[in-house]
Amino acid sequence: MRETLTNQIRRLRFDNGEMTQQALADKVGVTRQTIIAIEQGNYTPSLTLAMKLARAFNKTVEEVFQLNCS
Amino acid sequence: MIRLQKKAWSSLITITICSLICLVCFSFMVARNSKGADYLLICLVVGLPTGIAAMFQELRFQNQLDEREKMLYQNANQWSIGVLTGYLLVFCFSVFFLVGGGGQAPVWLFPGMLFSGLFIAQTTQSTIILFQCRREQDDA
Repeated sequence: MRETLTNQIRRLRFDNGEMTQQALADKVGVTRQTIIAIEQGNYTPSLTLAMKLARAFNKTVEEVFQLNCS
Repeated sequence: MIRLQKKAWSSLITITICSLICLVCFSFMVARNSKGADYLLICLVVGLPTGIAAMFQELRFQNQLDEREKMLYQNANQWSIGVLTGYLLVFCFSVFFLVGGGGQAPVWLFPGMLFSGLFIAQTTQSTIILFQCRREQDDA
C-alpha cells in the first residue's frame, strides 16, 4: 500500500487574499523554497511546521494536509 | 541564489584556497625533511584558531537554516562522511597492496592522506548541496 501526503496550501493561499509564497514563508519562519517544496509534495514538513502552516490559515492540520492511501 | 547555495560555494572556494596553502606549506616541509615539535606547533598555531573560528561559524550558520535546509545539509554531510570513509579505506588498502604488510611507506603519506581526505569530504559536501539545490530549482 502506497501512502502519499497531499496538501491544499496553494488553494488556501489564494483563498487568503492571494497570499504570496514569501508572505507565508515569513509567517511560519521558513524559506520560500521550503514552501515551494511542500506545495509540490517534494518535502513532507515536520509536525511543528504543519501546525504552523495550519495556524497561518486558521485551519486544522487535516484541512491542510491529507494522507491518501492507494 | 539561496543561502545554502551561497554557503556551498563559499565553502568550496575556502577549502580550495586553504588546501592550496596547506599543499605548498606541506610540500615545503616535506622537501626540507622537517620534523619535531616546532613544526607541530606551527600547525597548531595556524590550524587551531582557524578550526575554532570555522566551527563557530558553522554552528551560527546551522542555526539560521530552516528544517528542510537542515535536512539537505545533513544529507550532504552523510554523503561526505561516506565518501571520506571510502577514500580512507581505498587509500589504506592500496598502500597495503602496493608495499605489503612489512613494507615501508614515506611518512608524508599519512598527513597527505588526511588532508586530501578532508578536501574530498568538503568538496563532496558542497557538491551534494549544490546538486540538491539545482534539482529543487529544476522541479520548481
